[in-house]
Amino acid sequence: MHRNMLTVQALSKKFGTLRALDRVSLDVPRNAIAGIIGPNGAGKTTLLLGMAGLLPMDSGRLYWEDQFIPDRTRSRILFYIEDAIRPHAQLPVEFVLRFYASVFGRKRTLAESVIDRLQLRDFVRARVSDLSKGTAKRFLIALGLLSTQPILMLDEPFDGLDLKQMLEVVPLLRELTSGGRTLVLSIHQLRDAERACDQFILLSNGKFVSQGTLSELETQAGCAPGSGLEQVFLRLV
Amino acid sequence: MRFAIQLELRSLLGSRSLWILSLLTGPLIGYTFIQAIALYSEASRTALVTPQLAGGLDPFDGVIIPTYGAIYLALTLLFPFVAVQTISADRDSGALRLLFQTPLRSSALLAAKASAVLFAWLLVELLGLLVLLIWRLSGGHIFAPETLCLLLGHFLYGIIVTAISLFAAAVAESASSAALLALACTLGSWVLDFAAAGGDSWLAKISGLSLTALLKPFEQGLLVWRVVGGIAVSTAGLFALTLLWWHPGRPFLLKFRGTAAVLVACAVLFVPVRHLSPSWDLTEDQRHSFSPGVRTALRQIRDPLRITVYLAPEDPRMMDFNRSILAKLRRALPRTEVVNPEADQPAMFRTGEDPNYGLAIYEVGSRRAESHSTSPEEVLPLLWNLAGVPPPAADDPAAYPGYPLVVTSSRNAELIFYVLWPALSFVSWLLFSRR
Repeated sequence: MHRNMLTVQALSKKFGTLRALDRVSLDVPRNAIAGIIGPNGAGKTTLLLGMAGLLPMDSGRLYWEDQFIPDRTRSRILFYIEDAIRPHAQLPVEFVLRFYASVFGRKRTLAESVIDRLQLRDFVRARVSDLSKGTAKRFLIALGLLSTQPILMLDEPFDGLDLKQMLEVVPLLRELTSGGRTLVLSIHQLRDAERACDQFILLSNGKFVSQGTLSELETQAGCAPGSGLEQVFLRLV
Repeated sequence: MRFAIQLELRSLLGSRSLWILSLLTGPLIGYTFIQAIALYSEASRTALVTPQLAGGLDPFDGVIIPTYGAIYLALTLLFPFVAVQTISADRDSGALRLLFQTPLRSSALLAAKASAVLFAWLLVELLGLLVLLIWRLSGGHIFAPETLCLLLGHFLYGIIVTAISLFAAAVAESASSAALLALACTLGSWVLDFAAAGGDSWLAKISGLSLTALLKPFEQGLLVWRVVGGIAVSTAGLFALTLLWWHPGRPFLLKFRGTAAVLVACAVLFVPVRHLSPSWDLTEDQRHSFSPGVRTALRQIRDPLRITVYLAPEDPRMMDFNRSILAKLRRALPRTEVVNPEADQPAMFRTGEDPNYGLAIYEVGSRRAESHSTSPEEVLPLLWNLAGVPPPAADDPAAYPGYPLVVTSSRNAELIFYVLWPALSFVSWLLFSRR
């Protein structure tokens, strides 16, 4: 059994003269929630797009359980949902969710349960474009829950959710990990990350800074135990 | 695949662009049809008084083709906006990236999108079928083979415009630039044809490959297999390029290499397509063909026929010669070689002092004959003599009877195209956008 199911090796990407990712290497542990933490412009979204094979990288490789994964087969292993998108904007929520449940071979009952658990029942007939920011975010998380890839990557999954909604979503994500999936979340709110994640991957200016559990990072940063992610972030980034 | 088609159809039915296309196309086609009927009725009144004129009244040319001209206009100017949306809207909303990560194959996804776009094409063509139905119910004559040939031409035109639009959407970053790119091809073809009309310049040669030129033989009742094959290869090539370009994760170098491979494959496939047997004349009066007896006699000519003609392409005699002799000869004897030294000379530099001007030289093997005539009655005997083939027995087919028809009222057509169709389009849009 490999503890690190996904290994990213030296991923680099330049946009013109801007180096968005500079030889970023990291490991994503199995059945955990890994948070990619970094300030705005750190390269979080570029990293996730590159990992998902949705943005061509200049260099770098991905390994899944020590097997190299070429770009064209990434979608068998990873499912990535971007932040602030309104996919199939003109269609009703229920139709879109049923479509994704069908293509992923999910049972209708699962789709119904996802709708209920993410409190989307009142919005099933609404068009995706008409959803509020928070409801749209829950709709995107629902799409992620319906996917079947072993790794689910969500960009800013808590952006737009209030505290209560967030506290309801986190256990749902935890259930996924206990069901055998691994989550990679890009989060820029450190308090949210601390609540949701087991592992933290710190990025800054397109470079990998550090990785580990909170206590490991506190040790690395020379912070007192229990000082929190904010202190770690300020020291390391 | 079934789920993908459902998704695409539902997205299309909920989109405003489809119903705007439908709303605008109905009155446009209706107006053209009603005008065509009025003009045809006017000509028919004269023909009913003077029966000798009836033979010139062909409803295919007088009513059907002008009306389908409006459909062509809708497919050229409006349809690309609907087609590009199927990819561009998904790209803008972030749906495309999600779809690429589902177990759906990229080709299945493209097939679903193309099917949805063809549904939009069908909606436009439905108006054309309505035209045929109204014309038939008004007592009008329809000759099925040439009408089906026209419908096939429109289907192929719809397919290639779909392929161009989807490829434009795959390479362009936004819906507006995709629409501009697609229109540059469809509208550009139209402008190119207009600019090159009548000439034999390099512009005219390029215009032979334009989309408008592809539709022309079908409008003339000619099923040209080379054109059908050419459209099939081009469409397949464009779909392959779309598959290559629309995935955001593919490196540019891979797209570039793939594009080169697709272009080479298309070029290779075009070689056998160019040698496909000429065409079928599906017109009722067989206007593009010699009589069966003449065709049989022509096929007895074993040596290749070479014709050197000294006539400027824009000269009316050349146009007549081309229509009544050369085009028919090429269909009956595909190995016929036609050389026109005048065509290489730009029209503005022709002095008219060439002593050979107006002459046509016919060569069969080592034998040769000359004539200034452009009439089959004089040219064919010359060919029989030259090739040593006995002239065919007279088999003059029955003259085309013509189908004059006076339609006294176009009220039903006005009601359908100006009122019912737009109302139906509007209600459908309301219905699908709120479901």
